[in-house]
Amino acid sequence: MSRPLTSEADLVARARRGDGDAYDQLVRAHQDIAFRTAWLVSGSAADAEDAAQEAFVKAWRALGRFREGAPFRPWLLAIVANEARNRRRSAGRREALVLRAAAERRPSAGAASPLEAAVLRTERRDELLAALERLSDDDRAVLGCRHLLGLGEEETAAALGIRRGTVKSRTSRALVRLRAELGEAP
Amino acid sequence: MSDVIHELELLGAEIEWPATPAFAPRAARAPRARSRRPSRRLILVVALAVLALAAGALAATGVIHFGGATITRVDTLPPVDKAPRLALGTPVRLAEAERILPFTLPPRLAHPDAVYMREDTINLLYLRDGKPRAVLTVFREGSGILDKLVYTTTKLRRVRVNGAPGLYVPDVHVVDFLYGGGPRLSQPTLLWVKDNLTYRLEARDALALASGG
Repeated sequence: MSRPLTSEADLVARARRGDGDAYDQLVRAHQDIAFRTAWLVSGSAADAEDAAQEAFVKAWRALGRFREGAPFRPWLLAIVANEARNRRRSAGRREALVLRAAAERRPSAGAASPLEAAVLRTERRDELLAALERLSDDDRAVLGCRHLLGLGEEETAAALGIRRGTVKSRTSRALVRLRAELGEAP
Repeated sequence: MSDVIHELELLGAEIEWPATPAFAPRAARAPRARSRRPSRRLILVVALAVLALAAGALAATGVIHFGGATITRVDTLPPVDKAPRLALGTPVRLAEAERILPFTLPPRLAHPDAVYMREDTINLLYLRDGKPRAVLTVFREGSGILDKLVYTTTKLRRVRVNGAPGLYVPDVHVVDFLYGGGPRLSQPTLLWVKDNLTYRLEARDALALASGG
């Protein structure tokens, strides 16, 4: 469940007044999603780390320009993703999406144990992952932001530096290409 | 919502996202030097080579030899095979396997559902409801087939298995180099040594399976 708006608004207000501890709390609340977004955009964990670190410092310095009352996360993600885009790797060199160890995955019907999952893999999961990897950087990034990370359209637009309408159209086209990679009818 | 979108959302929960680093949100630090990074496979090969070369130096800080297994404590696990295939070997009869290696099975493991041989190693597969529940591997000391990497924080437990000395690795974050395949993550694993044979049982309930009467 997300942090109550009043709590975050209070932290933002305190951070804008120079309260470093409040800002640290804000970053801690969003650092996972920020780092993962940076990773999707840059294609590299090391670059994502640099991008997020740099972005957090820039956001701290830019808090005075933050529009009071606006949601903090899209604003932060936009700064993070901008840094990540500056570090984006060339096509074909991005780090691949990897599934968690079978033992760590959420239990699901038909996969009673990690060992079972290791021996009898879910072919569909692998196919989907492989199909995602075959997509272009743009397609993978938009699907990753929208459906793997669960970002909203506005946040995805901020993260990818595109308009909200472009998020919709790009997502739609990426899904068509993903289904084609999976051998499914559009 | 279309099926593929729903599947993507389920997949998102199963992605191994890179671990979020510790950030200093208000302190600028110099970015790391950009360089062409080698492939993951090369990183793994180099890491394993370094581990092998440095085994002696690591002995005081994190290498445990137990029977025919070597366990190395590391801060970071290497990349793992995301779709491991357990090549258990050629199917053999239990009696034939016992002639190859004179092993003794704990009572609850006395009736494997399948037995395999691979390079003088015996693998016994146990099923529940037709699905794999446990794999018991038996091999001679000194065969060098089993290396395990565990986190430095993993708490290894010395146990007794039907009177024999054992070592329990409770953490699922364990990488094995076994069955000739690439490194993979493992379930909790119980090792024990008896009559110059090393037993390795991988199962969620390994302790109960091996020790129960």
